[in-house]
Amino acid sequence: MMIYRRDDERKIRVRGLVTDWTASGLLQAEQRDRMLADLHVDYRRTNIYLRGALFVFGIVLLNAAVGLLALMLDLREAFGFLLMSAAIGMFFLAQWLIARYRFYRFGLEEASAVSAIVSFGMGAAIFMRSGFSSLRGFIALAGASFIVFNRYGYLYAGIAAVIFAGIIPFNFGIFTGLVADTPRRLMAIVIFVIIFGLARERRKDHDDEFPGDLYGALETTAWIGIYVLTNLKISEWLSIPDGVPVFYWATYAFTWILPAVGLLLAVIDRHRWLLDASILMAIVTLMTNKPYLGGVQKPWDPIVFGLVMIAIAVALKRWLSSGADGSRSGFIAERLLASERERLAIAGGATALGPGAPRPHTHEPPPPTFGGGHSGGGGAAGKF
Amino acid sequence: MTTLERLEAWRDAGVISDAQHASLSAIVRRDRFSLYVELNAILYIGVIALVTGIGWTARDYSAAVGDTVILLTLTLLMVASFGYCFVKAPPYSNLETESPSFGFDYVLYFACLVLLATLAFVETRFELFEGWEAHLLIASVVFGAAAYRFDNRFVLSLALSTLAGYLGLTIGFDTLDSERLRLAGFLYGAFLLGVGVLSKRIAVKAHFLDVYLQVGANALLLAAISGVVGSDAEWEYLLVLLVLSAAAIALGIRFKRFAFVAYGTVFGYAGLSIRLIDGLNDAMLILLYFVATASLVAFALVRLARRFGRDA
Repeated sequence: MMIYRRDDERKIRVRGLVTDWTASGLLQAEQRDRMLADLHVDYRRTNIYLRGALFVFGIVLLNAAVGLLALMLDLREAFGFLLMSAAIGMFFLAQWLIARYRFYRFGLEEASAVSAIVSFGMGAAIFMRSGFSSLRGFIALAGASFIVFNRYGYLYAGIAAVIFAGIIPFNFGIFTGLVADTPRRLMAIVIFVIIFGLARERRKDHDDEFPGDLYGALETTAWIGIYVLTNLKISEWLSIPDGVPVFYWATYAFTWILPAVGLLLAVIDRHRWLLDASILMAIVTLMTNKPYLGGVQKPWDPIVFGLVMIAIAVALKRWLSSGADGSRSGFIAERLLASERERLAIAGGATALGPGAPRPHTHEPPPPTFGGGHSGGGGAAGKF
Repeated sequence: MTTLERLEAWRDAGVISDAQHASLSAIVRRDRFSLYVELNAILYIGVIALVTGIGWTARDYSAAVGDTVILLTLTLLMVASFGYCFVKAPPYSNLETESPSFGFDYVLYFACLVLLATLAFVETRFELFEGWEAHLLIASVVFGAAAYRFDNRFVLSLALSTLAGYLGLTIGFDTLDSERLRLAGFLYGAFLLGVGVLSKRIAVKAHFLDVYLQVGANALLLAAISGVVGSDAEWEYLLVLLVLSAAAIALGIRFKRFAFVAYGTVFGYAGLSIRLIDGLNDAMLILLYFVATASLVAFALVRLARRFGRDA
């Protein structure tokens, strides 16, 4: 059961919507003020920056305190036990902070809950003298994350729970030898499929209202998990494929099927998270198609890919705009809300750190031992 | 109570009109579903991939097709793209302006990236600028001018990162490993803050202020903390860092820009902690230090957060 009242959670979300509608010119300031008065909640909140800073210092404080306690008690053998006990304490500390100070996404109580997850996972992994067990660790992490999600409603804890659950099969000792990757992947995919189904069911129960929005994100996370494990070309870092031919070609087929099915489901349900994830999957499928087929990347491949992307965007925009009332079954190419523009503005600012930014240049001559350095300023594509 | 039920209640109470109720309900029910962000993201990826491919092809095939053909192609692409932007763009305004069309911003971004690729190609093949400095400086000046002319944050960010490249910077203090680079970092950060504040004061694209402040403040703080970690004047750099952090916190509170309060707090604390625990070998003392100081900082932040609340 979640600690915050469902109606309060919904009020907080509607407050955000009302602010966005006003910024989008759909409401007047006086209307907004009257609506916000109806949406009052008795919680202590703060802005995202102070929340982030409080979270960071909360993490430092709590983890240093646990370390200090371990040193003072000189608990070498029972350190895992101490961690698990501390995790339980921090879980209830978060609860106490919320009950006592009415914190809502305030940073400190989140630091306490997240520290509880990490401590519980680490504690379970090194519990008593039985040696380190990553399997135990990931099971504990998944369980603790889900409990925190279920109690406090932190979306990131729910997403972490889904990811940790999917990683569990990669820690099974029973799969060894030449064919170890295929059963692990299959098992993890089954876990993700089950989570996907359950989260989807819960989302549909509530539609887009809280907690349906949270379950929609978990559903999408599980769907992404299925895709990542299916696309062997992007998940070699997780587990090296064992080269079973039937499995290899089946995964190739599914790298095409999954984005298509995801897009279809997203369009039917008008599910934004799933839609964006499926678009991303489709792009990744296009990028990994050639490596999957054993082809060699040519310099003009990105040109073809880029032109296809541009053509899709332009064609889709024109097709949507040419429909009656500028829409096709309600889908429109134009901006509806100010928040959409804000998201693009943030992305615009972030491009200082992203693609297109030239690599750094150093004025200093390279040390002689380098045998001729690489003078940065790689240009748009970093190819020169 | 669902959002739709609330909207109905507000309509019945006369807070919103029937027309407003209809349009807001359509958004909530997702009867109207915008693909604006998705289409923009696909276009952005397309442009990046296209320029990557052009650069790669130019590099690999310059010997086969000749430098002239490649240079001519790049120039044509660049001129056509910039030409399109100048023809289609509305007249210049000091205020924020909307893009004239869906793909306009991306044509401009494409033109800028092709310019960068062209300059890089010229430098690689002909060494016209005898080094990379001029190439990057020219690009950053052109991007900056284009950002102002066409009111584009993407291109402004590109200008700032290209200027950082010119100065030998990157976003990350691990590369600031010399006094000269640190000095460049300080100058870069101060220059951006100055330009940002000036833009705001004279009301020329005042909405760019945030980009300048964010990049400028981080450049200054990164340059200072890098000196705390690996220089011969660690305590002097710590003093500079603490002054900068205090300024970020004070100005952040004064102007209610709490990102800078967070930057000042985290950078200042990190720099101070690095210096203070550097000589300590006792794990218990170190942990005690973190418990005590993190408690103090958290307490101060809670007081601040309680004062300014959610919407500040």
